[in-house]
Amino acid sequence: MDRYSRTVAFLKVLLPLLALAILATVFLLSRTDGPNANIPFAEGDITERVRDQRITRPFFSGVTDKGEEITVDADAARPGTADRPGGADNIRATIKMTGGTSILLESDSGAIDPTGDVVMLTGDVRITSSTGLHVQTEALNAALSGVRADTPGRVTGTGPMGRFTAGRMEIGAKSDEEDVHMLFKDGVNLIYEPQKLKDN
Amino acid sequence: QGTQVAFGAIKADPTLPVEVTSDTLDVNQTDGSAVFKGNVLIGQGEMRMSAQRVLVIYNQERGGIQRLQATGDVVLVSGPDAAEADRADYSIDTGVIVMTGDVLLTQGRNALTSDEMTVNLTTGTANMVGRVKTILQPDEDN
Repeated sequence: MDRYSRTVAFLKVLLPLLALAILATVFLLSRTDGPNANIPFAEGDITERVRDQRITRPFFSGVTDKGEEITVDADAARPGTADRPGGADNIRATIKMTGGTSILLESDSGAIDPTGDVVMLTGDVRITSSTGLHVQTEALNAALSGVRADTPGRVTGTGPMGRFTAGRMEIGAKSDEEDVHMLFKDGVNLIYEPQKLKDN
Repeated sequence: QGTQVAFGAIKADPTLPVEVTSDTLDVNQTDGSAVFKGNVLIGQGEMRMSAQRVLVIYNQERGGIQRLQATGDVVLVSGPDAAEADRADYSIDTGVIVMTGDVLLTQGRNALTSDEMTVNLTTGTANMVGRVKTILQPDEDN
């Protein structure tokens, strides 16, 4: 057998083995993200989550018997413990009235107590109403079963009628048939600048 | 027609900021109407107006306040002159106040009463119409 046929015979054995080897490694080198891929959580986040239970993006909504829609949502919520009440961050509460107008309540933090039928907004509370009122205060308690809210402390705000401050504010309707009112109480001080309107 | 009298010390500027203080401010969330209630005091420059209840009426097209409707023992004071009436409509842009309902205007020691009075703050004049009666106090001292 001359050299050529010997090499061919040798290759006839070597090449299939090589093919077999390549074929075998195809499955070994597949992408790593198998079923147990790790979920992208920061280490601190995991320990924090383990320490206290959290709900991300909680959402609460209800319709009053008068037909007003109330939706409350937040970035994260923590259930209450014995010493610490339940809390939530970045709360947004939207009240849609039957007449089509709406009131948006936002705050940095707060607590939702569905059984006590109240959501307590604290920390830079911002109230915006579709009638053009923007009100800021420190804390606000709003009912969940109806359109009722009040602020224990002072409020400052602006509206179509000018800039104003007031001792307290209440949102609500005197009776079911009446419209919802925003009542500013305990002394109101308002400044209206006609000049500004003339410029623009 | 009607009696023309001077009103207010100086010519008021209607573009001055208007300050309103009251016990409560009630804003209806359906139509957006705003009502001041409870010893309401409106101040602009020299002019002071007090009333029990003031309704804010907005400009439909331009936005802003078109006029303030004061009701409930309205008292208007500007400079040495004072006027009382049941109701007053103050349109801010034009600086005109229309007072209606047994108007009593007191200027120094003279008093005038009428059914209606239109005060123009910018020109410092007041025009009284409807059963105008004047009570002039003779000066005893000269």
